[in-house]
Amino acid sequence: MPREGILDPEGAAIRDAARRLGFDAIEEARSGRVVVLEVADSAGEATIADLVDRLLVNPLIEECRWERIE
Amino acid sequence: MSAEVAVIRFPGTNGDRDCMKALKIIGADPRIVWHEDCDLSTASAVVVPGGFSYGDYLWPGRIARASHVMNRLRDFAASGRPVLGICNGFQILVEAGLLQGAFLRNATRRFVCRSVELGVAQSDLFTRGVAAEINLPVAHGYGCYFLPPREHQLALDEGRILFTYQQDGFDNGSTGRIAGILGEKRNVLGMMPHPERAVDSRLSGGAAGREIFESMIGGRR
Repeated sequence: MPREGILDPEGAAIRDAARRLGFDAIEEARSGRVVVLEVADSAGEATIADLVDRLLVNPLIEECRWERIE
Repeated sequence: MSAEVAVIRFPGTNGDRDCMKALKIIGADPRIVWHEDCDLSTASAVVVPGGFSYGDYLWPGRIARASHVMNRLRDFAASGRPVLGICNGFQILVEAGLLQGAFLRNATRRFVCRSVELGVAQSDLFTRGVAAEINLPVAHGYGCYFLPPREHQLALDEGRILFTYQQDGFDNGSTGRIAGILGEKRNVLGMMPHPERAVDSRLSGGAAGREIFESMIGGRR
């Protein structure tokens, strides 16, 4: 997800489109991405965190949350 | 002997042919380097052209950072020889960690394709002989360059912001209207405008881009 205070044109476009469709209750929208990974059981949390850091997220402008689902 | 310039091609690069042509026009000896080939050792400069490398998957330039050629490009940049990233090439250099900052979608939410007026700062390597104001074409949807305040101030203090969009109604949201910036060692330049599309004064784009390439290869031409 884009960090608080970082420009999010896609989120703004979604908000505006929602309002055009009559969803007046939508006050703000932010847009990010979801990546689903299938990971070997042997991989530890450090491996995932490293991948998130080196490929999946730009910490300068984005924040990220990840979880392991069995 | 003419200067050998490596023009890196990724899947989805589309500015490579124009860069080849521009470099040939100024008398350099350009060659395409496929991103898996990696050999940059004999080049005197490297150009990373624009396009949509890897389909802009994740976000522009991000997948290219994991490409084979990137470690060689980091070594090449560390050697002090010039590296020029144009448009998506600029984004790739940022993602590779050769330049600071990050890219966002244009604040206007529109793809922009037009000529823009640029202010030009002095750099021995890239803008020698280039006028203080030039026009170059831009074509980007993801051109909002973000630099945190501290890094922005440092870049200003060190004179590393080579190109800025002038106040002519063009604003893609970039920090400080930055259109092109040097790395800390001043031999890596990333720029959103396309100098390779402005090398022939008979065409509408003008020829301001030509001088940037000429400056880059300097006396080795």
